[in-house]
Amino acid sequence: MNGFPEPIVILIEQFGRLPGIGPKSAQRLAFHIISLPEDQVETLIGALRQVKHGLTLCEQCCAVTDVSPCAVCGDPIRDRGAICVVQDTKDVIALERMRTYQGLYHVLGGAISPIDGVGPDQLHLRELFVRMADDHLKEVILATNSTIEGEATAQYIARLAHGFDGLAVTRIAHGLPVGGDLEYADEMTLARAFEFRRPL
Amino acid sequence: MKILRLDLLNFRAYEYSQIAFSSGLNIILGDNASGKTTILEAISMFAVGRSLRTRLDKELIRFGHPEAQLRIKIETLNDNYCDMAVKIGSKGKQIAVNGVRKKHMSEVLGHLYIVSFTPESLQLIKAGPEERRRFLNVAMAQCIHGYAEALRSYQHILQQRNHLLRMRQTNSLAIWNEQLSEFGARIIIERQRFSTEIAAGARALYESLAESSDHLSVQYRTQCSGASFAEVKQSMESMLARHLQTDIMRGYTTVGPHRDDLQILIDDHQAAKFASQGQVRTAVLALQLSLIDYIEAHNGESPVILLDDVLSELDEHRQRQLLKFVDTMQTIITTTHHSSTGWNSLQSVKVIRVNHGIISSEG
Repeated sequence: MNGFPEPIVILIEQFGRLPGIGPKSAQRLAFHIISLPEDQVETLIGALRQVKHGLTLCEQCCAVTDVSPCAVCGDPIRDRGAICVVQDTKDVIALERMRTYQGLYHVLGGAISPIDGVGPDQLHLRELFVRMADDHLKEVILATNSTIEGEATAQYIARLAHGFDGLAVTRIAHGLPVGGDLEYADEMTLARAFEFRRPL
Repeated sequence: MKILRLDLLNFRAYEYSQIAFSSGLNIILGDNASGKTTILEAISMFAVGRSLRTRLDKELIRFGHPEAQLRIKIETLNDNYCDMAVKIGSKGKQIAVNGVRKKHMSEVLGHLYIVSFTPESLQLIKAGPEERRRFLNVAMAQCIHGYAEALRSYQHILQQRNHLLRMRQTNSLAIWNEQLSEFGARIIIERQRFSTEIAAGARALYESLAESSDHLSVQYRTQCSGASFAEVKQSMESMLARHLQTDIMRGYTTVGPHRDDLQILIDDHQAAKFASQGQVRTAVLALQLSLIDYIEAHNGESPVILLDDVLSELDEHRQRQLLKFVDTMQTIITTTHHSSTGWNSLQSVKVIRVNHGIISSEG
């Protein structure tokens, strides 16, 4: 690479593979690690090991968790009649902040994107269809991202979910952000907001 | 609408140049390969959002330099000014409109309108449907709000769908059809409306330019039928379903606005096959000039006219007609020689001499 001793080269390469880290940042991080006291490096190594070994996927909703079933799935007072389908564990945290949804979740682990090699088989869809067969389930709420890939994923699930009798399939609304000014919204958002308008 | 000033820094052959334009006729004079077209290319970056000559940004940067910069100052109606800048580097473009950073190049669209006529414009008739779709896309992106975004989304979905077809994974194809038809229908509706409007203008212009009774007819041709957005969307969805086997066999999507064409007929005969060189030139000129009326009617501004080395392509009568037509608008012409015809009679002519990236003005 550039004449650095081998261990540093390996470290720079590893940092360079992380998202948002370019070659210069990777180099800076590597040299920062070298300058750290040993106990701090040990703590970092321990933290890395713990996220890998101490975390698992929830056996029910496939969210990243430290205990399985996760806090939501294991909560006896949650409503088992609704499942909200999201792309990522981060989305569960975001929806939980709203504090009004009492149902369960299902984390797909991404969205269908053929260009990136992500098809239905690469997502946690099989687990979802097993859960859909449960008679207690009344509604599946599709809360995948409002992107082209998120929309296609919602379409895919909706098509298959219609095969289950008595199961309602809904998609979260798209439109203006609360507290946002109409004049700053782009055309696509406004068009959606108009399309999904409701009587008052 | 007028361009007041253009700054080029490390853009193609230009190290640094500032050009001030007059509000009437501007003539960029220079030998072959002296950097005349580069000036028009720089202007069109702001109107169209990309270079009309290359898809590779890297080619725009002066050799041996990390980035190129362009800045333009425009005067619009009611003495409003607009200042746009773009920085082209190895990691893409940075854009600012009136000093405010913008995320996408498409956000510069709608500030500057141009109508251009270049030797390549003749491909509009001579080449395949792709060139005619490009003509529509380039013209519509600058004057129809939201068209560029719809086109970008459409192409993104198309790529996803085509990837599945190439990989022969056909069971989840259908989920892309709904979104593809949604954006596809929007594009088709806009293109139909736009084509109908410019067709009338182009027909009248052709008659006066050609001084003949031949008539030019222009019509958007699509496989999807319907008068409303919902109908076209419905039609496209059923066409996608009907052509599923063909799509799978060929490995790409065979239905949609990316396969449509703008049909150009002269006296009911296909111009591409039967028109003479002269008819082709006149028809292309009529089509490009018809954009002027469209832009004036819909955007309330007259566009800036860019003519790249075309006076040599036209006879004296057409040269005079053209110059008379654009007389009230800011016009920028590139040419290799100070021809005697045409512009000598016109007032407020500014001559800008270009010599390998060095600019000197006169008049």
